[in-house]
Amino acid sequence: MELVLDANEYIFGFGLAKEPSCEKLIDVIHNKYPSHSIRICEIIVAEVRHNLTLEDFRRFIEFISALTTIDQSIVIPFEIGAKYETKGFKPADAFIAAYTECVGADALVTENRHFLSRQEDLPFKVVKAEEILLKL
Amino acid sequence: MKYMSETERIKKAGEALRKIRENVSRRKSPFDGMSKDESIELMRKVREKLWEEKIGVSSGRK
Repeated sequence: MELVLDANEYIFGFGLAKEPSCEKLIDVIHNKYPSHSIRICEIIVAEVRHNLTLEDFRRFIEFISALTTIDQSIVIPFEIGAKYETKGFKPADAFIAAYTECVGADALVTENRHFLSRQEDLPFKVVKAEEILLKL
Repeated sequence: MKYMSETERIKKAGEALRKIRENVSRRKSPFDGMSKDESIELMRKVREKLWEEKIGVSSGRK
C-alpha cells in the first residue's frame, strides 16, 4: 500500500501532542519497511521542520530518507490543484490532495477533519491513522 | 562517502526516531494545553503561511 502521510501524522507521531495512533502508525511503517511505501513532498517536510529543532530535523531527514525519497521538485498540473480548490480545499491542502493524486497513492493519512469531511469522489482514500492501522 | 546497507539505514532511522521522541518529550510543545482540533487548526495556519511564503503571494482566502 502506498501512503501519503500528512504533516500532522509526523508531528503527532513524534509526540509533540499525545496521539497514540499516530505514533503507532509511524512505528508500523518503520518496523514493517518495505511492506508499505510512503511518499512525502516538500511542503509536508517544511511543516515538520517548523515543529522541530534543527538537530531533530536533521534526524527527521535521516529517518524519512531511509524510508522514501522526498519529492522536492514535483510538478503538479495546475488543473489538478485547481480541481481541489474548487472542491473547497485551501490552496496548500489542495496541493497536498493533488500531490496524493499525482503520485497515485492509495490513501492520504491525516487527522485533519477538513480533509476527512471532503472525501467524496476522490481518487484516493482519506483516512485517520487509527483507520489505516487496521489495514497495515 | 559512506554507503550503508538497507538494514543499516532502517536501523539508523529507528535510532533517529527514538532520539526525536526523546528530545520532543523534554521540551515544551507548541500544542501544550490544546485539544486535538486546536492543534490541527494551528498546524493548518502554519501550513497556509508556509505555502504563501513558498509561492510568494497571499492566497487571498480566509
